[in-house]
Amino acid sequence: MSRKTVLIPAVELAEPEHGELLELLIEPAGLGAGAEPQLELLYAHGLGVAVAAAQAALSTARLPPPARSLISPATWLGPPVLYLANPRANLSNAAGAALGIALGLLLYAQRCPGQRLLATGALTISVASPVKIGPDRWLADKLKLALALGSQEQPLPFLVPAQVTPGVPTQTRCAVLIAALARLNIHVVPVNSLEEAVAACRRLVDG
Amino acid sequence: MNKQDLSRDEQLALWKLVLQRLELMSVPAPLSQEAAREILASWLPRWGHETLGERIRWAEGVGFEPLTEIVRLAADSGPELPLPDPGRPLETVDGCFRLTVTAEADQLLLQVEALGFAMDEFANRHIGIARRGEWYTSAATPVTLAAEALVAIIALNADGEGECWIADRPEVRAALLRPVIGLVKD
Repeated sequence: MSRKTVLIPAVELAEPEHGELLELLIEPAGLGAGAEPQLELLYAHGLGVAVAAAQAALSTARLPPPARSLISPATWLGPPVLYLANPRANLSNAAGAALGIALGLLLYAQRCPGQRLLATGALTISVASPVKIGPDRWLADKLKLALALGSQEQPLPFLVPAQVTPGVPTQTRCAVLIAALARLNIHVVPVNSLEEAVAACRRLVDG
Repeated sequence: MNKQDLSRDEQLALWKLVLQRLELMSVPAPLSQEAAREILASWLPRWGHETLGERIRWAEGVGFEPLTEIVRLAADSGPELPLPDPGRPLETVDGCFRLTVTAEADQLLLQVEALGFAMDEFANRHIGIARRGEWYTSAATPVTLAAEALVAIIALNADGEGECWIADRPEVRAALLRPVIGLVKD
């Protein structure tokens, strides 16, 4: 299956307890596509800031090299097109979608294993250190959104920032929600960097 | 004017006018310059396009008919009171208005466009932007708001477009998290 899906939670700014899951689809762009991933639709969907951060992160992150296998979609299907299946005109702040977009591109290129995952996190790029994922004070509300997905047949990774606010670990602050999601086979994985996120996906899918 | 050319009645009228002006000059000013400055300081900042008549009328309260609102969605949790991503316009839930917010130094530029049929309906009228509060029961229920409850009043032109510069303050940013757009009753 060459189509990959990344679900990105987004909450209302005035009432963070309300929100929805944005469905990012990554699939072959088809004949006539150029050599690069097609990201124009994401700009139109209000994800320009996140796309820029994801591209910068992928160019600096210390990740495993791209697969050169003949059965890799990236090799024989050409570059992907990325778009939202449920675009929202009211999406006004998109930086937290950067981790999802970066992982979507890595999933398609098979540099990160899996078909479908959930991700939230704004990426901070610096040349000297790994690509950091910033804290997210609305993480609990975003985790609640994932409860609506219900029970999953296959393990579904949910990559989240390791801290809710500076110094407050996600693991302790959101322990109850993390346990509730685990019962639905949705595995919340707090991570500090993009490199850690890819390694966590590898552990979850392979192991 | 030659005094000889005037009739007696005209001369009397002229002298009355001169005396009246002289009396007015001798009356002291109703308030000192300092007192006037204090009163002006207590008033809200003046919106760019606001006329003196509008300012006096709106000081007693603004007739405001809420039309629609903008519900902002965020994938990140950046600053406490975030502005929209640069270049990202906000659209009302009914698709009738588009609001673009641009920050420049300590000022915000709010640009409103009425879209589609709303352009004809609201051209050449005043549109207000307010923070959604307890006063909001439903769209189209008119209320009278204190001028300070409104973030901005924008005069739309014939194309249904208008803009306004306002100070970048936390109250304004809070209002822009879920702004209500309404018609200011003239």
